Amino acid sequence: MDVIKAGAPRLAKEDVKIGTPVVLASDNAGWELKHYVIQYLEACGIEYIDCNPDEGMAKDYPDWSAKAAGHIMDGSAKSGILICGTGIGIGVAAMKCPGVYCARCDDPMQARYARKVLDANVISFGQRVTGFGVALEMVYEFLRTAADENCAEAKIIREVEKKFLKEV
Amino acid sequence: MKLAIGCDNNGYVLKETLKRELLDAGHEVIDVGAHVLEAHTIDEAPVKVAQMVAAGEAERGILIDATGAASAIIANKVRGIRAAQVGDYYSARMTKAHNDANILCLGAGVVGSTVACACVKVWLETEVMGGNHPRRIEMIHQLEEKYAK
Amino acid sequence: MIAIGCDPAGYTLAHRVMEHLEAQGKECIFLGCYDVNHSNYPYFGEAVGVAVSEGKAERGIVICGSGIGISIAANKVPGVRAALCFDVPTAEYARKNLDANVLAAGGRVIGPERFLDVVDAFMNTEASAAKDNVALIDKVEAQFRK
Repeated sequence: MDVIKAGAPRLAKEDVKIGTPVVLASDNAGWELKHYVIQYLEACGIEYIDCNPDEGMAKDYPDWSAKAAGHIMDGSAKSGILICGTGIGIGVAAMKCPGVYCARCDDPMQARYARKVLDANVISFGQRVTGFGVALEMVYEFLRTAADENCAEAKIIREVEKKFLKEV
Repeated sequence: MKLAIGCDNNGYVLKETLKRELLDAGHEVIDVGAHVLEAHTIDEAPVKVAQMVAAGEAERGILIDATGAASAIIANKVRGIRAAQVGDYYSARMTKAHNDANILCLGAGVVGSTVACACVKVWLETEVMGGNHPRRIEMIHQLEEKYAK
Repeated sequence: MIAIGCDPAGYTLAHRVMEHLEAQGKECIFLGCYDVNHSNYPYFGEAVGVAVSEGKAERGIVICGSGIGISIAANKVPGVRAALCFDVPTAEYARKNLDANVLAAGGRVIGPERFLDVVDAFMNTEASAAKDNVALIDKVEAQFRK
């Protein structure tokens, strides 16, 4: 199925307001939806890294959270999209790593808010929860929304992280 | 059950509604604030609730802000916490079953009180599953070992 | 008997729902669409609505991309009370307080497992408090029915 023909919003490369490449990871419960996201990113010409291209590898979400977080920590990816059954577990595990700020989203408004107010660099969602139409709208908002400058909430999150996570 | 609940300014009204429901259902509820529509930053309630749950001073916690995202990001940085940001009943149920989420994060700008109450209720009532799931929670603990203070 | 109808955007979810209900021992009848390339949701909303209003099916489920168009179409059939529900509490409300006889969903909006929870709530909730509301709905319908 062609996701653009099905109505996914077109995003021009120059409208992308978040760093790329985007790292993608899923477990097997998020596998199919991740492939719709890949189709979408390819159609919009956006660079991505797929942590687990082989479905057979995909069993335990924390492995993929760690791998995706590794890309964010070493700078080989600047943003991320994580997908599991609900979007919760894969995000929780990734957030245990410094520098990963993941907002789980149910709708595009939340993705926009996560970028604008929290400067979230990762979003997560669930294949069992959210249809692909809404999921791609969320990806669209995530990629094209800039973080507000000097936003207090984004600063607070990063300060609080220093209290609880080791320096890396 | 002994529950800790907290919110920022955006979550005050929903927090009060949930608190009333929980007290009516016979739970003990420790409200860490915001207590009135005072200025309350996004980190105050999540840090307090996360530390209480991690220390065993409360069995589970509930956090409410505009979308649930800020609370989840902050609470998840605390060792021992699995904070789930949910907007629907299915996710609230499954996050307990699979992730044994010990804090539920709700968005006052996302869910109405009917759905929020249903999410909290099913999350409290659902049994934690065995099988592959405890192994994955252990993998989260390993990440905490690596990165958390 | 549960009547199920959809358009191409709802096809996959509709078949997943049927699989789920049949595994519970419930009898289902699929009323279309049959062509995943171009089909018009109003026909399939109507087909399910007619099956329910004529008593051939006790309940109906209709699915299109958002769930909106097909639920509007089903609601045009006299005797149909179709509710578009994304969540268990709203599905319970729709059954309990409105005696909703058709459940609608958006195949592009909601994930399958989440919707199956909603389907179960819809199937398992009795219309215990619906009498007055149904009387009001019937009264409005009588004003506008041919």
